[in-house]
Amino acid sequence: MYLQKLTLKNFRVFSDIDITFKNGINIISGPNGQGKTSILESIYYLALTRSFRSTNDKNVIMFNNDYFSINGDILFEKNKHMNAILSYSTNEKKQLYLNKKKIDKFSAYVGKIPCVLLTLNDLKLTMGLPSNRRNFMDVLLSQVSPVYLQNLKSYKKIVQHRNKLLNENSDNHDQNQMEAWNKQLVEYGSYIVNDRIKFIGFMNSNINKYYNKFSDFKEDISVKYNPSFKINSDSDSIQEIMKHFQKKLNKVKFVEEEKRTTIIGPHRDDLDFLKDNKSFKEYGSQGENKTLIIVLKILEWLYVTNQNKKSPLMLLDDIFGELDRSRISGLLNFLDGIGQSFITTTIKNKFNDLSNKNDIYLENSSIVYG
Amino acid sequence: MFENENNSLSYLIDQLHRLPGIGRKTAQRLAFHIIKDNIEDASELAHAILEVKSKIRYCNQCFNITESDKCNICNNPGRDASTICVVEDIVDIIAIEKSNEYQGIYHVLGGAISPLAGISPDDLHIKELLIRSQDADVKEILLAINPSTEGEATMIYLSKLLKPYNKRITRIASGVPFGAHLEFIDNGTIGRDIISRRDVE
Repeated sequence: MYLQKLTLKNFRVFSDIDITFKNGINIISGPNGQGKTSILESIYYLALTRSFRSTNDKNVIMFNNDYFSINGDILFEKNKHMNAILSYSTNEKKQLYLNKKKIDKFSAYVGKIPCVLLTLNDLKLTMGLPSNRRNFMDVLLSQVSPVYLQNLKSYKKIVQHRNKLLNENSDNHDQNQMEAWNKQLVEYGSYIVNDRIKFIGFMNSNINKYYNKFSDFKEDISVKYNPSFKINSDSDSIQEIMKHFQKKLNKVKFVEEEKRTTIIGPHRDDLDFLKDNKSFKEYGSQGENKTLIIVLKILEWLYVTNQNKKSPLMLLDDIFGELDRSRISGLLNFLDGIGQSFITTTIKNKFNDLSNKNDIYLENSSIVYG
Repeated sequence: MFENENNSLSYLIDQLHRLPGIGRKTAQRLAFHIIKDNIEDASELAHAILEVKSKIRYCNQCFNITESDKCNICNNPGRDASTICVVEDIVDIIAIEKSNEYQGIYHVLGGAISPLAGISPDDLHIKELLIRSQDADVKEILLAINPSTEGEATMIYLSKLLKPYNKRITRIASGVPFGAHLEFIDNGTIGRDIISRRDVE
């Protein structure tokens, strides 16, 4: 599948613009401030119904206007078309239309246009906060299965309810009510853990193959799952995960009452990246870190393709300035063999060697194809 | 324009806007309609609102709405008083009654447990339900509570409290709605549906 045409209205710097893309690599170049990243942002918005830059839909609307819309035409194999429209106005909720039909449940829509995003922000994925790594898994798994996203939404709600209860009821807590929330916490939380385990298993069976394409030395890279309760990642069934979760939850009951917050569950998960069994955080160099992040994004693409049966659009925002020649050519090699990708850059001639590409040049927020 | 002025029109718009499901624009439209209406119609509307407030009360048994002490359903000798259907709200009774499938009586909780919304079990008509459940004539308690995280918590909570009474406790089948696709239903729902599966008739 690929995105054929994109129409933006009042989106950031674009009042009304039509952009035509090709299958394959699309290079979006131009000076700073012309809206290159905004184009990627709008594609991501249409795919995941939210921005990667702003948490407030209002901020995306062009100055002095009261709505924005993103309209995309997707072409599948065998000439099958799909049209998706996402719009938001200050006096209405976000609206989503798929082939002119209104979609009420966004979670059932996410994954229809899968995409993988790589920005400079992702360079913090390995070294930064655990929430970055959970978010990496959540965005990916939500696109693999609408069920994951719904479980996640329910789970987050349950954690909030539970935290509120822990905060209020420290003196005279109602054990029956707490158990009613615990039962759901364990149920939804275990399904989330189960899906994460599957993805981590996939990463571990493929990570070396791709990492060593970028590296001169043969290194053993692995991903270790650090859940907040003990599990046996290789063999545990969902029932066993629930049992372990419940057991640990009972054990920390008094700690939770003292801390007044939910301390066990997938919202406290983390991943450790290991190089020859040593922590990447401490032993990885800057260059190795960049390689690892590129590889993680490639694995994300592969996993979504594998599970969703649709190849995600690759969105790469301004990252090529940060990479050296060998990493650039390794990444471009990968992109050349997969469906559609979008690259923003200020330095257009970095990509001169690419034979099969679509050049889009932005100046004064209008478009020149080249 | 007129909205910022402190006059009777903007007051009426504010009051209408307060109602659930009435946005600012709808409130305006209603207000202008009332202005164009003749005075008799307008006072009839005002009268209807006041009358409903003075006459409607809650049934002292099930908390449905009524104009006497007990509601029409509790008062109806044709209803099967051995089954109590527990619902969150009065509107749920209307929905179930429309189906014509249920012959028992009701109990309205007045919401679902929600720490975030500040609704604790004490805010709901749970004590009254437990008292009713002690009655030897009551054989079954049917929990017809909305399938949400809050509804589920309420259901788990009630089933714990009701257990000592040794009644049959049931819940309405939930989960996969007619015409839906299984791939879009969350694991929790599917899991529960599989646990509570039944034989094909």
